[in-house]
Amino acid sequence: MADLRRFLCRLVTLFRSSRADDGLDREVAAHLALLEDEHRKRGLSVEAARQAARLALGGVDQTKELHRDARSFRWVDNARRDVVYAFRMIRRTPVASTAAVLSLALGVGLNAAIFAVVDWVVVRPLPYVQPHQLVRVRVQPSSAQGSTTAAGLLTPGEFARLSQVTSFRSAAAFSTALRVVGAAGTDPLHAVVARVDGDLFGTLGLQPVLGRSFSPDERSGVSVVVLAYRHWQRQFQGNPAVLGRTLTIDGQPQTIVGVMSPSGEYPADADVWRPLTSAERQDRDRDLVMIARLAEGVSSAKANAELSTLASGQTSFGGRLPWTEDLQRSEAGDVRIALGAVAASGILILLIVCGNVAALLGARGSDRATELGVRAALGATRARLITQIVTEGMALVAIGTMAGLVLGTWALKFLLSLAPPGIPRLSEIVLDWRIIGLGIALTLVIGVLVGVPPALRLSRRGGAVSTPGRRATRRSGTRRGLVFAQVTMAVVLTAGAGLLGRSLTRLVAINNGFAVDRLGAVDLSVRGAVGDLRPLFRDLTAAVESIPDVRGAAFAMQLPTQIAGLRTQVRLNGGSPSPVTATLRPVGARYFEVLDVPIIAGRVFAGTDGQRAPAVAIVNQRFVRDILGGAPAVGTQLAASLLKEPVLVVGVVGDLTPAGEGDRPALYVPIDQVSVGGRMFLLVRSRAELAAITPVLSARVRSIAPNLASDRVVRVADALEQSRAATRFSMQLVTGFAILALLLSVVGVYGMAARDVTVRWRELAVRLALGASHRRALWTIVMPAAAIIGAGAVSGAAIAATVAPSFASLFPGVNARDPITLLVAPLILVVTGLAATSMASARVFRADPAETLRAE
Amino acid sequence: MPPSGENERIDLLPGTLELIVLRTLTMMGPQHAYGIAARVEQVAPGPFRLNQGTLYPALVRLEQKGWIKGKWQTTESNREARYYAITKSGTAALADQMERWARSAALVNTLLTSEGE
Repeated sequence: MADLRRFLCRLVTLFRSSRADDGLDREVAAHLALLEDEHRKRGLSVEAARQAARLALGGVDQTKELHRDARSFRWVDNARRDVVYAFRMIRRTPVASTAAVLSLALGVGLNAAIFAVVDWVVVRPLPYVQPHQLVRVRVQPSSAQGSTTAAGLLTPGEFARLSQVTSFRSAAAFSTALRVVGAAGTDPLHAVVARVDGDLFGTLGLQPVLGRSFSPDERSGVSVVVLAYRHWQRQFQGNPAVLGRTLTIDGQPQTIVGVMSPSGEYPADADVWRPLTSAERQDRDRDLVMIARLAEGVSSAKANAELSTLASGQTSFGGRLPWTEDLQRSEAGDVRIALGAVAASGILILLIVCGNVAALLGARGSDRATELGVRAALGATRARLITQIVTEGMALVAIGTMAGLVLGTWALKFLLSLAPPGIPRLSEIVLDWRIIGLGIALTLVIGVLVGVPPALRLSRRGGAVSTPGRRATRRSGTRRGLVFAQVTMAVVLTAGAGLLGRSLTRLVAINNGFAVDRLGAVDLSVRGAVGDLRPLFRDLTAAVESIPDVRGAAFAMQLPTQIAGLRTQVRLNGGSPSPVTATLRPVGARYFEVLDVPIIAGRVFAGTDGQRAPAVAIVNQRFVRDILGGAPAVGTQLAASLLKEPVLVVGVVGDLTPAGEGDRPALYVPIDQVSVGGRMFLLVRSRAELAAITPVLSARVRSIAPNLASDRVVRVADALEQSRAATRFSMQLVTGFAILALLLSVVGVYGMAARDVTVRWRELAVRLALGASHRRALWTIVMPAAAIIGAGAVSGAAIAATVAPSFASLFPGVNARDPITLLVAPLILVVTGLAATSMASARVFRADPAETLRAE
Repeated sequence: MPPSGENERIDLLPGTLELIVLRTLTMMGPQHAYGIAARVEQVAPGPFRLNQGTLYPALVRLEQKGWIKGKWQTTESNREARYYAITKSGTAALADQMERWARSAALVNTLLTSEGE
């Protein structure tokens, strides 16, 4: 009871320290007065009485210290005083402290943002019930085993067999396609439709917000659909009366039975889900993505064993092996590597920052050796001195971290705005308490790392007077180590940025085979339309071409960014007996003109190549090379599967090489002479920016064909960009990091040189006085710095050469050990480093030896 | 702590000062720190000089435990001083603590003086 009371009193006193001190002062003064009275009575003089009184008390300050010890928790009190002191020190050296706080803020902010993303994509569980049980099932040739980039898709038949294994509690498979969906009273829209086999929602544990999901008998192919929340909002404005209404998918009527909850929709881009029809279940297309939920207590390895036993017993798998992989890992996919590079860069930056802060604190500590010596002489224990110095470091780091977390929220927004598509559930990422907790933990670690070594060193020296020369040598030893490490890390980052940059330049500079500038495409699906579509295509082309800002328009079945397409067997008339494979590309008459594809020989299509005119075709250069063996193409007669009659080749055009991809042998035929349907693109070359004409374009299309969904107008440049989005993202980030690392390490180098000059000022003065030239004196500063920078540059290049190959997939087309990059990156550091050193040591030239020595 | 010139000086065992203060206050009634020190030095047999500053931690501890209570008053010599009085729980604690001390002292004495059998 008494002990508890005392504890509470001590706690309360913590916050009333000054009041307690006042009371104590008064009491001690009274005590001394009484003692003095007593001694005066014994006949001592005023002065002697005062001295005797103090002696009897045992020292006023000692008494107060004892009292403080007893009345409160001493360490808290100390800590508070250390913090106040630390902030005073920070204010006293504003420039250095600001530099330290800013670098910390940058380092912590960047890392907080990066780790928020990494955490979200890699660590945080998927928003499903017991997400660790969810696996992606891939079927792949055993040679591709373990590859997460290969699709590993299944046929419906394979899914039916694999979903039976006992390791799975439930399983589902799906494929997605862009379709046109319509409903009475709404504009037709493009939507991603997922065809689902098995119990997808049950496997994931998803519930509808409205209506229901598919019932078991509906799963076997009844015409029902479930809408994604997003799509429900987009097409039906969230109208709850949507249940039971009819939705057409490419003209096929389906009944809406439910709306899914907005969180955890899977696959993430699906707008509409429908069960696989029984006809579709019979086909042998390998296009299903399979997921499964492992049964209770079954490991992924056990499931793999069961799956491979099953597959090896059945010839229908044809040597392909099914295997499972954690769904989250699978979802993160390629992004993991990019994120890994980004995270590694972030950590390097943080290390460089720590180097700078440690150097700063160390330098400040050296300057304060005298002060600490005095404190030690006055009775401060070593532990006390260490806590004080560490507290100062911590205070600095704490301010830096707080600023960093603020910066981190901005950095995160920036990061997300750059991010390539493919990071799952990107918009939901925020800096949450776990990240902030991580920041605080980081603070503690950095604080101890940068604070404790100088504290130990300084406190060990204690009150002893040490020779400045020796101290300087030891100090600069550590500092040089830090600068060496910083230069190394900066070189690694610069090299990384260089590799990514080279890769990107290569991709951008590539000749695509067509002009991408101001080229747009209206995505038009005519699936489900009946009759001859050729008049419609002609009308649409004419309507779009009548827009003043449109230079030309032409239909095609694919964007020019896509090489693969309809495969056709070509037979040369009177030539090779065995057919060869080529890609068939039905295109509008002005296709080559609109795309700016070069004409190598002959002519392009004309309006006269109509339905009743002789059948003609144009081939690409690859066709000439691979199929005709380089023989002149114009005038050749060809027969091809998919074409009713033989065609006469009238021209040769250049290859399409989007983003550097090689073209396939291709056979272009006029859209007027073949029958096409399905998904079509109306390619449009405009004079103005595409965004400016998009509304007119859609309106024009709608006026001709109100039943077609004209909501998707794509920039071909964007489609092209997608292939290098990941590289661009990584490059922008890593370049940013490299610049940051460069700046920070230049600060470090500058600091080192400046400190060298200060510490060795007297020595330099002596040298100058003894007749050394300024140039010679400068040399003694620059030389050792150059040696460190050089060593750092070399080790950085070595590390970059070692590490780069593991990130090779990030910079396609560039040798991971690209010699130019590995030469230039260290060179940049050496040049900037030397520049910083020279700047820092330039003041040697202003040195007046006489004055310096007189001051000693 | 400043080194003491008196070699024969005796230090109090830790914790005993509080006991002594409580006892002094019971005997003399409310008293200020100097008064307590003077009384202890006066009563103590032989060369015992209290480092008077060490009273303060003991006083603050006792006060925080609620065993004594301090109050500002004026001395006979018309100076102000903080007078400490023992509280009811202090009196109870003193009896308890004295009991304990006696037993502990007796134990130590026995152990130190007992002859080997």
